[in-house]
Amino acid sequence: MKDSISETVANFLKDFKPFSFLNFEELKVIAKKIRVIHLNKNESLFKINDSLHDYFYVVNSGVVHLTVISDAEETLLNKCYIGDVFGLRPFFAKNNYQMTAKANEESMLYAVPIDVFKPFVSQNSEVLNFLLQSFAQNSTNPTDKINQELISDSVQFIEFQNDLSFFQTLNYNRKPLIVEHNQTIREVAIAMSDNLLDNAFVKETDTVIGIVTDADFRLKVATGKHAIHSHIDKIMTYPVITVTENISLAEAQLVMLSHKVHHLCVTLDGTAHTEIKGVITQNDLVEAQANSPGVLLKEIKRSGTAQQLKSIRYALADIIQQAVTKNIPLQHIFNVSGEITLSIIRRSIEIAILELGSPPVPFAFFSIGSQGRKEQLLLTDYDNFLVYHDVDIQKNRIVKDYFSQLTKRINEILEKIGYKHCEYNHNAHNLQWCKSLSEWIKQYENWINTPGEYTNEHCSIFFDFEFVYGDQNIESEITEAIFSIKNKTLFFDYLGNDALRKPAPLNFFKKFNEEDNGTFNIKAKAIDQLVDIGRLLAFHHGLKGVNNSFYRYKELAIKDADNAEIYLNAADVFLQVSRLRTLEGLKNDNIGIFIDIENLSKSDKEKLKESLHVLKDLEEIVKDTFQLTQFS
Amino acid sequence: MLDWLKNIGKDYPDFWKDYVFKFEHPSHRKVALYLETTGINPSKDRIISIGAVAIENGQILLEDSLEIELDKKEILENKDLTYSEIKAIESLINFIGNATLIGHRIHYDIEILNEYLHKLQSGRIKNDLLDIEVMHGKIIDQLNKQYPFLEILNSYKVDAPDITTSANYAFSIAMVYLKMKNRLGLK
Repeated sequence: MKDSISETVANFLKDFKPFSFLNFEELKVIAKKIRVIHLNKNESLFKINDSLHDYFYVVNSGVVHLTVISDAEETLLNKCYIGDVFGLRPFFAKNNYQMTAKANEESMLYAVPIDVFKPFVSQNSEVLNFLLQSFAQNSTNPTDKINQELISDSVQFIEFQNDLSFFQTLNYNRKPLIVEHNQTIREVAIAMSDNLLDNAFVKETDTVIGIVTDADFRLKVATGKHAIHSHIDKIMTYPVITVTENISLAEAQLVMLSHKVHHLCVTLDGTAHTEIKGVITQNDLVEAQANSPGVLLKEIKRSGTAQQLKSIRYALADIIQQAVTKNIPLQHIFNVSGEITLSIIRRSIEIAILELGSPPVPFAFFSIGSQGRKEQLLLTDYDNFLVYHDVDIQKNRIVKDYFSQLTKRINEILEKIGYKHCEYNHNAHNLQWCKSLSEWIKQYENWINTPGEYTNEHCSIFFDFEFVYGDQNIESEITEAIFSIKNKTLFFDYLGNDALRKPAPLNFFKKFNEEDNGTFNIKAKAIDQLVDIGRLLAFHHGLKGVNNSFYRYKELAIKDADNAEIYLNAADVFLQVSRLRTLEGLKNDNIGIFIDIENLSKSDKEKLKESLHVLKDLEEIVKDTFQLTQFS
Repeated sequence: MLDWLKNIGKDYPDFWKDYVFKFEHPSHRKVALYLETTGINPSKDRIISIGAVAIENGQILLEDSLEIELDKKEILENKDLTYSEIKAIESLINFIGNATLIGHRIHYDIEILNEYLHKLQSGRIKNDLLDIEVMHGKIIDQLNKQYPFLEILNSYKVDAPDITTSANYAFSIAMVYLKMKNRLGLK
C-alpha cells in the first residue's frame, strides 16, 4: 500500500537536523508514527513541572516560545521556528519539564514518539551528538545560533538564569599537545610553534608530570639558564593543576585564582593519573564571557565579514533582552547599544573601504533617525548619509562615482547584518543623500529657509545626525552652518505643525486609538510625537550636542524652568514607551510598533494611558511657542 | 425490545453489520476524508482513489490513515464493480467506523459512497458529517458563497501538498480542520 502522507512529512523533515542524518526510508518509518498537533496563539504545550510527554516536537509552522519563570517573572529562553526541535528532555532525563512551551502564534507541531525515534539515536552517532548538543547547548553563544539552529534544553542554564554566564560549560582545547619527559626543549618548542599553542603537557608513563608554557621558555631558556638541547622536564612547571571534564566557568576561575596558574589540565576523573582530555587557558575564560559589551566591541574590531558582524548583532540582541527584562535603566541600555551599533557600522564602513581602496577625498558618514539619537534597540531601519569634501569640477565625477560605490557596498553589508532599508530611502546610497559639503550646507539652508517645499520629505530626521566615520571637521562645519542661520521662525513653525499633525494616542473617550486588529501603534501614536517635539524645542532653545530625546527633555527642563515639570515627565514617558516597544519587539522578533493592548495588565494599561497625557501638555507648549497658522 | 429492527438487515454483508454495530457507542474520533472521483454524478461516476486520516483529541494520527489507489483503466472498462473496488469500499467502511467525517463538499462524497453501498446490498452512510467549506463560510460569516478547496487551504496558511494524492489532500483537510475548530469553538 502506498503511503504518501508519510512521504510528505518525511520530505519536510529531511531538511532539518537531526533528521537530515537519516535516510529517506528511515524517515518514512518515523513519519508514519508522527502525530500532528495544533496550538492556538498563547496556548501552551507543556508547562514547568508537567510530567514528561512521550514525544518530542518539531515545529512545522508558527513560532513556539520556551520560557522559564525566574524571580516570579517569565523569562524567554528561546524561540523555535520552522524545523526547530524542542522538548528533548525525555531522552536524557526522567524528571519533569523545566520550561514552558507556549505558541507565540498559531502553530502546527509534529510530535515524534520517543520510542520510535530511540533506535535511530542509538544506531546513528551523529543523531545522538546532535541531540546531546541541542540539549546541553547554551543559547548565549550567538555564532552557534546561526550555524546550527540549536534549541537549548539545559537544566543548569535554567536554574541559574540570573548568572547564566557563570554556570555555562566551557569551550576549551580538547587536543592538547603532549610530549614525553625526555624530549629536548628544542623539539618541544618546534612542536608548540607548529601547533600554534602556548603550552604543552609533559608526561612520564602515562601520567602528567608537568606543563611547559611560553613563560617557561622565556624565563628558563632565553635567559640562558638551560640549553635548548637539555630535556624538557628540566624547565617544566609542576605539579599541574588538574580538573574534571565538565567544569563550569565559575569553578575554573576559582581554581585558577586559588592556585595562581593560567592553565588547567582536564583529565578523565580530575586527577593527574588518568587520560588527559584537554587544557583550559585563561583565554577560554575570557571568551566564555564573550557576551559582555566590552568584549563585543573588541570582537567587532576583529571581524572581517558581514556574517561575523551579524553574529555580534545577535549577541547584542541577547544583551538587550536580558537587560530590559532585568530592569536595568533604559537610558543605560540605549547608551551601550548605541555604542555597539556605532562600532558595527564603523566596522562595516572599514570593510567596504578595504574592498574598494582608500577614498579620493576626506568624507564623513552620518547616522540619522533613531540611531542618530542613539535610541535604537531593535533591528529597525537604519538611515544614514554621506558628506565629502568639495572637489574641482574635473574630479567631481570620479569622486562621485567612488562614493556611490562605497555607499552601495556599505548598505549591502548593513543589510546583511540585518538592518532594513529605510522605506523613504534615507540612506547614503540614494544619490540625493551622498553629496559634497557645500551641497549639504545648501541643502540644510534650504530646509530651514524654505520649509515645506518638499512636502512629503521627512527632512526633520536629518537634524538628528550622529557622526560615525571619517573627517570630524565636516560634522562641526554642518552644525555651525545650521546654528548660524539667523531667522529660523518659519522653519520652527513648519516643524511645529508637523509635530502636531501626528495621530492622537487616545480618543475622545480616553480609550486607546487602536488599529483595526486591536493593537496600538505605539511608534506613530506616541514615540514619533515625543521625538518630534523634543527635537523642535531643543532646536528652539539652541541645545547643541544632545541628540537623545531623553537628554533633550532633561536639558529642556533646565533651560525652560517654567515648564520643567512637563519636560521631566516627558523624559520618563519616553523611556516608558520605548521600553514597552522594545519588549514587544524582542518578544515577536519585529520592530515592536504594534503593542497588543489586550495582553497588557490592567495597571500597565492605566499607567500608559495616564502617561500619554503628557503629549497634550507638550502640544500646548508648542502651540504657545510657535505661530502655527502659517502652514495650517 | 427494538432488537428485531437490527435483524431486518440479516442479509447485509458482514462488513456492514460490523459497521452498524459500531454505532452502539458514541465516538470522539474524526476522520478527514478525500475521494478522487471521475465526476460528481453519483449514478455514473466512480471512485478512483481514497485518502483518509484520523484525528483524535485534536491530534492528527498519521499511523491511523488509509490510502487506496484503484486502477482507473480497469474501472472504466468494467461496468460492474471490480473486486478491488469492493475491497476498497469495505476497508474504507471499516476504517471510518462511527467517526465524524470531515471533507470538502463532503455530501458529494457521501452520495457516491451510498451508491456503491447500494450496489453492495448495504444501507446508507450513518456518520455525522462536517464540511470545511461550510465551516469556512461560518468563520468569515459569508455562508452563501462557494469556496474552492485550494482557496480554503490558502486562507488558513496550509500549504497545498507537493505530491497530489488523495491521502495528502485528506491530510491537508485534517490540518485545516484543526485550525478551524478553535475559531468555531468546537471541542
